[in-house]
Amino acid sequence: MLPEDKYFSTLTDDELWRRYCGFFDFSVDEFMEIQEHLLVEQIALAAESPLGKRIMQGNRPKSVDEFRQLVPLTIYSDYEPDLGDCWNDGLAVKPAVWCHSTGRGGRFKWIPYTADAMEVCSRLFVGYLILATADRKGEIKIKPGERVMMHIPPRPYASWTFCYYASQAFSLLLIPSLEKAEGLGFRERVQEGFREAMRSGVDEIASISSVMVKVGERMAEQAQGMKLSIKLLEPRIMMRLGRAWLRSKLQGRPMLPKDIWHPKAIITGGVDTRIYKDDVVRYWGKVPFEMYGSSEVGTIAVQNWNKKGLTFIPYSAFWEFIPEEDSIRSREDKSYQPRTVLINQLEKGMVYEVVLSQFHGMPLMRYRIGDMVKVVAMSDDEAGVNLPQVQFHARVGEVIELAGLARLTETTIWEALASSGLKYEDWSARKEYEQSKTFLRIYLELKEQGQPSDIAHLIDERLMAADIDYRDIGQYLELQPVKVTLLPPGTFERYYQQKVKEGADLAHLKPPHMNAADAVIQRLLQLSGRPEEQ
Amino acid sequence: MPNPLSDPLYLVTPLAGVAISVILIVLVLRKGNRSLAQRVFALALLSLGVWAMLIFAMRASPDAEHALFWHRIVFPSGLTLFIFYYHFTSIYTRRTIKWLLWAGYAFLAVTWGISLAGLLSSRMTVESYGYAPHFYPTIYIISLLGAVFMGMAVWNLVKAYRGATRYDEKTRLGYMIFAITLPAIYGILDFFPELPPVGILGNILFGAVTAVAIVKYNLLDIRLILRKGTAYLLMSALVALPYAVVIFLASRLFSLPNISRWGYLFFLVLLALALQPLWARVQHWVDRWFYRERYDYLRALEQFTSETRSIAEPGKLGQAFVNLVRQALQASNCHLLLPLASGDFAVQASSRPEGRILRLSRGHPLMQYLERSGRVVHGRDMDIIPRLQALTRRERDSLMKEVEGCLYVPLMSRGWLIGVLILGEKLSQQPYSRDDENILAMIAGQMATILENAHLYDMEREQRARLEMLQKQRNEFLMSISHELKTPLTSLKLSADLLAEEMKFSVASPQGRILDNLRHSVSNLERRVKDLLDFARLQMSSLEFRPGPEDMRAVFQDVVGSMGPIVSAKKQTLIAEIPDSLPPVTVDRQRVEQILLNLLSNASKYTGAGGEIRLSAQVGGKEEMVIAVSDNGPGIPPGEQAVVFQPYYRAKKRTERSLGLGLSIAKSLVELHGGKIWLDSQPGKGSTFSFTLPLAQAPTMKEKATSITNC
Repeated sequence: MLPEDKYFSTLTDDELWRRYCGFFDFSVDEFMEIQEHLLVEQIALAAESPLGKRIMQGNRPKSVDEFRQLVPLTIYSDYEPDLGDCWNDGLAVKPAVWCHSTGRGGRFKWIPYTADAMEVCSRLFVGYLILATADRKGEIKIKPGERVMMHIPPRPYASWTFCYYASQAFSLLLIPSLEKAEGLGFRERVQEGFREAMRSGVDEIASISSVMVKVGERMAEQAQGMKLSIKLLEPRIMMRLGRAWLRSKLQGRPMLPKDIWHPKAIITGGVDTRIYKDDVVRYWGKVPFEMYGSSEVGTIAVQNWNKKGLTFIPYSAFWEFIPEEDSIRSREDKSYQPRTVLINQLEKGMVYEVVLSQFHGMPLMRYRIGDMVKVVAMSDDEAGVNLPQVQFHARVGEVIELAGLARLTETTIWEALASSGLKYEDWSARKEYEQSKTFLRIYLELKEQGQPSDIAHLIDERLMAADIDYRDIGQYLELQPVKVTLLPPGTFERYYQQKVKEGADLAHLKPPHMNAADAVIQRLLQLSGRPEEQ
Repeated sequence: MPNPLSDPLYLVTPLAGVAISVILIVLVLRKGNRSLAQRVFALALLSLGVWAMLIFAMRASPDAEHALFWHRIVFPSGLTLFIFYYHFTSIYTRRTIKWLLWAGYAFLAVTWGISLAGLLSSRMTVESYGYAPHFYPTIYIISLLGAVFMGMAVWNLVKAYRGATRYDEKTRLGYMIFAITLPAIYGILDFFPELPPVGILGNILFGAVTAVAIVKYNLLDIRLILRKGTAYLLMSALVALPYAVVIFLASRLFSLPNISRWGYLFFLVLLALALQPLWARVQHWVDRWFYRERYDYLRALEQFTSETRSIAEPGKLGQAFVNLVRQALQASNCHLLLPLASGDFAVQASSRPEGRILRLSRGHPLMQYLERSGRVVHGRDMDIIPRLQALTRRERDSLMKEVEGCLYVPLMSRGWLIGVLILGEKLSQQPYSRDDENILAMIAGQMATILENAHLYDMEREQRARLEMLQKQRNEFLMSISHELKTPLTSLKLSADLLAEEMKFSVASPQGRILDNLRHSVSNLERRVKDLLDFARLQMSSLEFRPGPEDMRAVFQDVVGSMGPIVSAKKQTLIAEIPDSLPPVTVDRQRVEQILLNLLSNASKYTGAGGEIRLSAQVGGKEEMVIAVSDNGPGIPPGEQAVVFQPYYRAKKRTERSLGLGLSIAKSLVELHGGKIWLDSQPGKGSTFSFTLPLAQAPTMKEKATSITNC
């Protein structure tokens, strides 16, 4: 019996909830006490290691305050001499596994994970399954042997590692299996997953919201002209499809994924969850459960059973926050050491850059992860949570500032596009200059016909509705700072195919949504042949 | 033969079953948490109710043909109960075998078909106990298969019982296992035709016990109930045996063929009276047997109380406590964590020497949780309580492996954590029961108070030792400084005397006044240094003390003589009221003179010009002499009377300078003689200092007061 399985045969539902999700009941003070305890333990471990000594500059802080005073803020390059070469000797605890990030910033970040850290990650993973499937506090709908479809990259990507360790701690039927998924590209993995799920059914799906919506859209489009292939001629699949067809006919609509599968939860991560939430519900019949994580630490924050605000996890890392203005100033003035606040000092409505210090003998300390979060509430009365509720705001440096008034994030632009009703394939936005004036240029591939000026006008309207600061630009400065370049159909697909041929890593298969480099835009334009511009 | 079909009990029993089933369904759905398991169990109860209703219909049938029709529905509805119950145990114990469940329902559907087709029972007859169906062999195969599902249900419960680590859950599962044996027992009883049909009763009891088990939060230990039931059976046997013997003997001895009902009553009353003393005794045995664990606790507590009565050190108390708890709860090991000076907690008493290595800070999550909740923490709680999940693997290992902790009991005093008791698992390998926890909480509460008191006593003792050390250092310093002063002072005094003798200055001349002043000051200083030295010696018990038999009249005369110039200078009157004959006392004459001079000079000092000072002595009782020095000065305010004998005491409205040691020295010297000293004073009227001295022998002479007046 796997370690976490045994709890499901010996604990009551109430006890299981307390074990896996009880941290939501902490007061801010209790949260801080746990953070402090784990940090002090971490300092004791790190102070004995060469890397820890170097990062802490030979200091051995005895308290949280001392730690924050004596240890400088760090970025990955501070660790690169040791971690870049996966060098074990400098670490406080010999790692159980090394894994790396998606290399979104242009390079991979290698992170060692200790056995203790992986144990915590695995326990938390079970907690997320419980939270994702629950409709009320204390409800346990999962059991060992859950069928989980995951669209994750192969090892040594961190997400693969987390899944692997979770499946070693708790009985999971991963769809497709980790071994099978390793040899497949992203699209093939997704296809294989759904193919297997057609046969076996699925309890939870962990994926990207946009993928879930895309699958739903395709299914709705193709439902009318669905042809039975030889692969579908299997009793279980036929039965599933038959039931789904009947269900959709009874409701007088095309067949949707929710007719075929009845997952207990849809688990998503990334900035697009909020944007596609309604579409996911429409296609899959479930409100997506959002997890906010990173390769460096695993999970940073998660939603509760009511799928609303994100709550920070007390056991993952010690959390500090740089207020937005300090974060901006520190990027402009490299010598400036920004101040940090703790979770008990957060203020509603404010934006903060996340700083983390790992626990359990892991190396990162006062590490600027590069993410900005916004505090949306100081508690969640519905779920009975008395901890600050946050939402992902933006990646540091992925904000487009217009006329000094508005700061547009990927989420804002995405929201504007989604609410415009436009049917599009993909997009990329960046700040451009023309005759000393700045404007927002959106490179957009539509699935339908349109005029760039009309579309720009439409997006401008939606942006005004989505961002109050952006509205000021139009009202006070009488500007419409949105310009659109329409890319012909297939442009983004050609870009993807070209990158696959070049052997690009996962993070670089598609152009970034925000502030893409000149080379990326040039390539897009070349591939498009004849773009239409406003 | 009476017609069984007209017996009301025969008809009412199934109806009672229906009513009870409905009540239980409502209870389960309203009081429980409406989990899937409870909902399925409600279905099982529903099928039980339907089954009972069908039985009623069968029994109420006018003829065997109608009864046969109902019986064909009764059998599969009973099987429905089996399948639902198996389904319930699968969910409740999380041991669902899906294919078996599907197979169960398929089997049920088939059985319904077979039974309705009349392939299970051939005909119905009326027997002495009621309607009796006659079966085809198929029913035995189907019954066997149905029993397999019940067996699987029991298997699920037994497996869960074995795996349960929580006492409550174990008890709950114990009830369920007990409940499932009831229909089996009653079913067997149904095979005896001379007994009334009780199978339905077994099913009702089964449903009721299971429903209570899953709905009620706190359940009495099932083992206790079984023990008690067994004991009552034994008691019944104990009572029945002598009763039968008495009846037998009575009928034999008195050749009574038939004893009348009055005779039975008489024997019963007689027996009740005779058994009364035995009953109390047996009750005591039974109680001791039922509550033998509590007797163990009480015995251990008594032993602990007697052992620790004379122990005041927390460390030794802790060891006694550890021994007590280990013995009372039959724990494999026990450790006591007490706070160190640093604030951390460390093992300071242990049933195992190797258990002494654990050290936890006050900020440790476990200590914080224990302090805030004040609740006992089980080892398994480390996996459940969110705060305790902040424990790192190292911390967890040190708790679970190094000290093999299974139960962590906080010792709280006035809301503060003053210790933690760690218990290993029970020697019996059983989990700790709620009773164990309650007893432990009680013992821990008492222990916390005892430890706290011992700790306070310890602190007090340390404080006292520290103060004694300080006092010793101060006295040594006083002695040293006094000696240092005395040597030049002696030289100064001798020089002044020599100068007065050599120069022969007139007292009226300026030089003479200066010299007189010098000698007076030196004399004052010498007296004070002497006081200081005496005080220091008294404190250190190093004063030279040579008691011997003395005639106090001579002592008084010398003292009165010495005081003459002083009282004359202040125009005061010193009256000595000394009896003509006084018995000898055993004293150090020099020290008694010192006491008297201190008291007399004190009286003179605080009495105004023209005042009266009185010295008196009398024999008080057979063994002591009481001496008093009175004045008619301003008296001492009541608020100061209690402190006049304390060192460095000086009257608030003083006119003379002094060190404030005179009365303290007088008191110490009196006590050195084995006497006591006290004060009677009335503000505005004067004060009387009295003290006692031990007589050398009993007084034989008549006391006669005389006056020696000195003006």
